[in-house]
Amino acid sequence: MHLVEQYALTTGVKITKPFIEASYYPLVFDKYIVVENGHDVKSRTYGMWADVISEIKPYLDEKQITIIQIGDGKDDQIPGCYDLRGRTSIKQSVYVLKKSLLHCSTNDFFLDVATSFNIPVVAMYGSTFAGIAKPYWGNESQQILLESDRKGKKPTFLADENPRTVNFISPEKISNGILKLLKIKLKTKTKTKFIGDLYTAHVLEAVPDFSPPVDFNPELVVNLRMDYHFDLQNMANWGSNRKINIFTNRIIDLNYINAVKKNIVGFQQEICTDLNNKYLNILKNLRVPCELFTKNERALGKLRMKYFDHKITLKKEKTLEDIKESNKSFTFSENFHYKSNKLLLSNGKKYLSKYDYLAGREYKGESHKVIDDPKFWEDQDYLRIYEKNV
Amino acid sequence: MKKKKIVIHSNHSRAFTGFGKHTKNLLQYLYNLDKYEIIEFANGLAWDAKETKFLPWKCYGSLPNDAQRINQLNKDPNLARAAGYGAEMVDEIIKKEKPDVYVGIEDIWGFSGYWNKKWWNKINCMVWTTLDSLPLLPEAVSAAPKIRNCYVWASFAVKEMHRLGHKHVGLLRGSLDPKHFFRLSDDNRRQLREKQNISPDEFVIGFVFRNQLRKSVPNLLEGYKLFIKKNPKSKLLLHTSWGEGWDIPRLLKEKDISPDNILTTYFCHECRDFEIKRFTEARENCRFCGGEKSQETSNVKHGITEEQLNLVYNLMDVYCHPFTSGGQEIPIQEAKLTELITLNTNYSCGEDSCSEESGGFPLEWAEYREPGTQFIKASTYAESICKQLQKVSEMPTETMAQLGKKARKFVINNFSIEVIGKKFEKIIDSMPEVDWDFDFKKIQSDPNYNPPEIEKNAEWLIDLYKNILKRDVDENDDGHKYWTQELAKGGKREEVLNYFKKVANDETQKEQIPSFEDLLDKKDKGRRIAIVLPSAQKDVFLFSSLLPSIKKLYQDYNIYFITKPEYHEILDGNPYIHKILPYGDQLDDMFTMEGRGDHEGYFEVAYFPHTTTQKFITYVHNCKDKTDFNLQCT
Repeated sequence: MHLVEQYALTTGVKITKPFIEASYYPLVFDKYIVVENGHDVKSRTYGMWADVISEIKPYLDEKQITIIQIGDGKDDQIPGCYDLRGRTSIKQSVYVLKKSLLHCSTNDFFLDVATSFNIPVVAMYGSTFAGIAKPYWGNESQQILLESDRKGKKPTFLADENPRTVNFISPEKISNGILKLLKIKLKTKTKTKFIGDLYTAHVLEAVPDFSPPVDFNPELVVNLRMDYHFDLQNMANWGSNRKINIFTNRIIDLNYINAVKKNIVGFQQEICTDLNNKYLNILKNLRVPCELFTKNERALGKLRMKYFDHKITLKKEKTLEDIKESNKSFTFSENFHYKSNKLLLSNGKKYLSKYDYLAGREYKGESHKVIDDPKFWEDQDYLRIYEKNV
Repeated sequence: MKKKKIVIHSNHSRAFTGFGKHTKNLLQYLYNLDKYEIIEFANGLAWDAKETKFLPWKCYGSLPNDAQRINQLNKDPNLARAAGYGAEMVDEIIKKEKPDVYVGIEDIWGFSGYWNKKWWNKINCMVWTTLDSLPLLPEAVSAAPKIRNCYVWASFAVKEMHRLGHKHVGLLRGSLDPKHFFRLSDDNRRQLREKQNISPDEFVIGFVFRNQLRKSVPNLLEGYKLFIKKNPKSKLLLHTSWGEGWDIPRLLKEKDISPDNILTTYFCHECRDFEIKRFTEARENCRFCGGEKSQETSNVKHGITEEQLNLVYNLMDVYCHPFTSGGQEIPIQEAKLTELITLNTNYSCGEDSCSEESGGFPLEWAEYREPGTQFIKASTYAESICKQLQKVSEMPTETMAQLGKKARKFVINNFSIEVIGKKFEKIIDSMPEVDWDFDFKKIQSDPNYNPPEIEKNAEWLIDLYKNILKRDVDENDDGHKYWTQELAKGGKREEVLNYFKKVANDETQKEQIPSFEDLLDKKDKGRRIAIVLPSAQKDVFLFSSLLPSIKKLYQDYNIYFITKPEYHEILDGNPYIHKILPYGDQLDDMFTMEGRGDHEGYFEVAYFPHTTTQKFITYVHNCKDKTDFNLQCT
């Protein structure tokens, strides 16, 4: 039963049309679509807007259609949109919606407002059935409802889910839906083959083979890969005025750690031969948040005995088999491309994965091909793999 | 001459508690004097409870009549506790009765926040409270300077208050009525023992207790175990509820004491007689009336009368009262009135009852600290219990009798209602006339006030309190002390001034919030419909599609839509809504909105649509449900 039908039953009256006032809001665009991504109900926040926008934007730019993001000032910003977050009242948002060509969001109030004005919508549902929350008014042929497959499970109806099931909806389904309702023909079709568990999180990594510019101050914590390149002075430079999470497979001179300890938010120590309890106790006394891990499953028991007072995590290196296990139909193809939410900086250059860094495949904005190499599959949690021109 | 009007605020005078018994004694004493107009303000009863109607004096309960309000209060343990002590209705009784004297007889935390009340110290205010441990409860120490007439029940607390500089704190003990407790004649005592199957040569040690005193049972049993080795013909009578607290049978087993040596009081709720016997089962058959499982050990719900309790004391040869700490420990005084030699822990209020003049003997103890509060508590030595029991058991009958008489006299001279009542009278009579006008209108705070140049911080702060917050404080006030410290630490006056102005602003805004009833039109009474839908955007918007149909059905009615303020904008300009009102938890109740009993309610019809969609989700049905009728307007 739809939510509004339940309200009708509770009150014993019939459903008519909803009512809401609109307030004028000045806009410089004639043609635009509206997107919205909430923040308070986490399970309704879609994590791959950047992919959606990157797929539709070239088409919309051609037609001079702007993408406007409305919503609360606390909502995550969607890149490539004209930003009205926190700048409009509800009634002004209604005005913006009323004049739009299309609205796209997860299950939210503005979807219902848009359809009450017969605006085409693309709607995404994860934690709830679309059937109980879908738009109740408007022309159904102008509504594309995308419901997560939830990997065969029923909806959780939770405000915060893990994993967030709305993220199981692949970005191309949304972008295709938007373009279809706008009657724009696709030139290149894509099909998502795999989405890593951490793909929706942004990760910034740096190899300490260079010193960052003094004014480089990202909002994100920098994963400092001392395990890729061991340079104490550069480590100290990175940690001098930005928050760092150190990954290392060697022990680090305590003087250097002491120098940057106030900026160390994490310390991922891979167990190595020269590691000892005394060193770990000093780290503890320095209040360095050290986490021990090993990639060696066979040695795990012995290591846990040796470092009994510390917690050791097993971090197995991911392989192609892990992808196949979670997605039985996955078969590698030369035609696969990938996107990554991890950005790795080395010597002032950008890379999308460890493999690209090792292979010297610099990121310059274009998509990269998937390479069937064990080093490539290690980073699978951060990747979205898709097939082009299907 | 006009009689002074006194509000006595405590446990209800019919409550079977220490405060309740004391309040009864006091009220009866005052009533018999016919000198004052007395009003009982009884904790634990609703304002108009029927129990308040059958007393010789005027009585009000200190809880609100409105059951919904009580339910609301019960959602917050702090509010519920405060309401239990009368916080909800105390202003009401002062407004209604305009008394000359307010007397609060309760635990000190029962008066929390009273010092800031409009009427506090404008009328004569007296707090008569119990304190049980050292160091004294910080709340009591900080309250003392704010209570002009402050009395405590035990001398150790007075001494400590004086030591801390609060010299005005006086001693006024809790009262007892000696006529309820007395020693029976030897013949009557013999007959009593016969009836209860206790042989005349058995040495009976008694202990009347519940609550915190259960903590001392292991010590008492240990002491008794030592005693019984030399005195096998002795019995220990534990007058208590065996269903609460310590597992006494298990303790007996652990200490290898035969259950045959332990007696208890069973009370029959059919014939209301009592029987002293060995504890066996929680419920026993009554040998007096034949009632099946009608006997149980004395508890809060079912207990023996004062007269019967007097008989229980008269079965004892000695009264032994080990405890951790206490405010007065009334059973010790009751036992003394029955001319028993009393043994009690020589700590806190116990110091008063084991002095030589009191006819009692002290029990030695070791100190331990209560976790959290760090209060000193006493763990009574088993050896001391045994030693003093032995001393009494070996005492010649005449000496015992002399000491018993001394004990009774001590209680009559120090605790009897005649003595306490007279002291109380003297205090009341010395209180000045009240010239306050009982104007409860709040004086508005003034956030725009700017203080003149005042050199001393202390005086500057008093000026801020007086002119911004409109409060009269002195240097002893907690707030004053806090700000003095902050300024001494280098805090800036400008920041303090801004804080005071902010508080004044907040208070002014709060004052401007109207009551719910004020938000409703006066003209549409009996023609109001409420939609209570607290959140969220989607729900409020979807619900707007039902309003035309509701209006069509109830054409002469006004629709009030109640939702959280952040959703009001969604409903702006809706032609079917008469008023949009802010949602509050207390409105989420049908009987509050529609009324029941004495409460008339505000609306004829109140809908709570979120009950089945948010509170309890009932409509999902895997999206497979069907409806046999059309829910849409055609």
